[in-house]
Amino acid sequence: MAKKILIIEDYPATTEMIENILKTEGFQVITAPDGPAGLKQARSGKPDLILLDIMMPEMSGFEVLEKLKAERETAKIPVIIISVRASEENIAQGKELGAIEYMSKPFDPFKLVEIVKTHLGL
Amino acid sequence: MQTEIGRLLLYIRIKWVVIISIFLLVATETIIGIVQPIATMSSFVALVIASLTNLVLFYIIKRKQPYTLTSYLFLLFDLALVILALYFNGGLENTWLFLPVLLIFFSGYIFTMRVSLSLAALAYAGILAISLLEYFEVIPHLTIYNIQNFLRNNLEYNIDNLVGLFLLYFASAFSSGYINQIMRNTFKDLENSMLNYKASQEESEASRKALMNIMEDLGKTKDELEIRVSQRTSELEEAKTNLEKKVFDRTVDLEESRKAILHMMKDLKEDMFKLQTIDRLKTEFLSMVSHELRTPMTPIKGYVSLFLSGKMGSLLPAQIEAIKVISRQSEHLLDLIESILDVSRLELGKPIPTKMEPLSLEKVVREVLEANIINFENRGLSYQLDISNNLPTILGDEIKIKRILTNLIGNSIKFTPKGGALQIRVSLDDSNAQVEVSDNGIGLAKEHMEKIFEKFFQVDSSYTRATGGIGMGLAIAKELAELHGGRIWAKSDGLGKGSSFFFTIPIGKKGGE
Repeated sequence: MAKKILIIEDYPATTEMIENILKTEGFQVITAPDGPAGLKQARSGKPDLILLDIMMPEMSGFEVLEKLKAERETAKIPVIIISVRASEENIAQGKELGAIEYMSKPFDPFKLVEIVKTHLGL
Repeated sequence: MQTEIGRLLLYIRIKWVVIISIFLLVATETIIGIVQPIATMSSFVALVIASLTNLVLFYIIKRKQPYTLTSYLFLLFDLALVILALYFNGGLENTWLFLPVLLIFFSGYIFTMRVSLSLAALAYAGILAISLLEYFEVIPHLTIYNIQNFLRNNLEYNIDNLVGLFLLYFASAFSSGYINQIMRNTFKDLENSMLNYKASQEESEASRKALMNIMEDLGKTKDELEIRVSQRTSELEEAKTNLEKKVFDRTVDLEESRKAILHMMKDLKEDMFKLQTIDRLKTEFLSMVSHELRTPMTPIKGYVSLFLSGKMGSLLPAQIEAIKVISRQSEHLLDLIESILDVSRLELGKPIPTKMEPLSLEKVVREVLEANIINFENRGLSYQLDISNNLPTILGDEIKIKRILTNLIGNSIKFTPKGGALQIRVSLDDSNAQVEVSDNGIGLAKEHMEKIFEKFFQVDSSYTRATGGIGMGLAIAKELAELHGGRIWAKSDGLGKGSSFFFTIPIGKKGGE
């Protein structure tokens, strides 16, 4: 059974690109355009891994991460942050909140696939 | 002499009195008829002669300065006249034998004692001679009281008379002479006193006049001074008024200037505040823009990778080449975006994030050169790499060091004409690894050697468009080199003579943090 990956990203072209490449790699992909929608999807969709953007309207990626880690159902889902903001502070904050990886945008999509596969034990 | 003239005039006056007195006496005797006619006659003759001599003497005195000798002669003449008159009037018989005393006295009074004594002697001699001649009957005795043999009959009386006359004459001579001397001395003293008084009076007069002159001068000077003072005072008054007016004007000017300055300061403060706000906004905008620009770069890069991977279907070789161009240009765009981000960090004073790790400088240099191969080819340039053998691993941020190298090599490519050559040399000294990028391009002017490392500095702004830079490359390279604890500098022999850029990274040290 294909692993399910949730993409929480407000920039549709990026979402689409990642979805595209992950699908070619055989993953099942669900998406959310903002934080609240992402949290809902995380609870109902039960993804195996979440790709999370930080700079989003309404709710920032860090808040989403905080809430994910606070809830029992979603706390164990590994989260990889993908952001244009990649200062040391940002990275440290993300890791502290429980992200397993912090990727700076723009990234090599095949490197992302590689990391996703590593963390899913594939 | 003046006094002698005065005394002679007195003598003349007294003589007139005597003449008139004798005339009256003789006239009375004649009327009574007690004297002899010859006596009366001789008396009148003598009186007439005496009057004439008196007039002559008076005339001489009035007309000119009389000689002393003239005065003597007149006295002698008068004496002779009196003696003769006495002879004709009874000789020793006559009671007026004292008459010569007047002459003797005046001669002493007018002249000196010597003269009066001489005159006394002559008078006595005359009387004595007449008496003796009459006694021995050489000459007749002319009696006035009709007395016969007067001398012989009254011998004792006559001798007594002669002795008395002697005493009388000489006593008057002595006394007059003596009085004269006293008077002269007194007069001299008086005269001296007078002279002294006059002299002192003249002196004091002169002093008074001098004093008056001085007073007058002083008065004039005082007037002049007063005029000057009044002139000066009015001038000063005027100057003071002018000055006050000026001060007032200046004060008004100053007040206006002060207000203007205050206004300007307020404006400046506002401007400064605006500028600070604008500057902050600019920096924030740069940061925001760079992040926003990265967002669309993510799908672009992602799709380019997908295309090139062949996972979106096979492409024609020409299509692959086109995608590769997109790939490279998007990398360049990212590089520019990254520069802007670094600039905004520099502006904000935020630390540029670094990820220090051990790395091989040789590998980094080779990778940067490989990434630029296409640029060398496009510009028709060659390069030579010269790397020291015993290069150790250094501690650094790969991306940052690559950016330094990219900037330096990129600059050399930009500013070296077609057919030129670059030389990249990596060497080592005691504590630093040094990278040198040299070219034989357009070179650098001396005055630009330092400035080129300043933010947004461009030697010629036309290069900006032609070469696609923003004038930040070297400023960022400097910042990044210093972030590693190294330094950066340039050398050039001048315009058209190529240039060399150097940067150092300390060995085995984690600089900058």
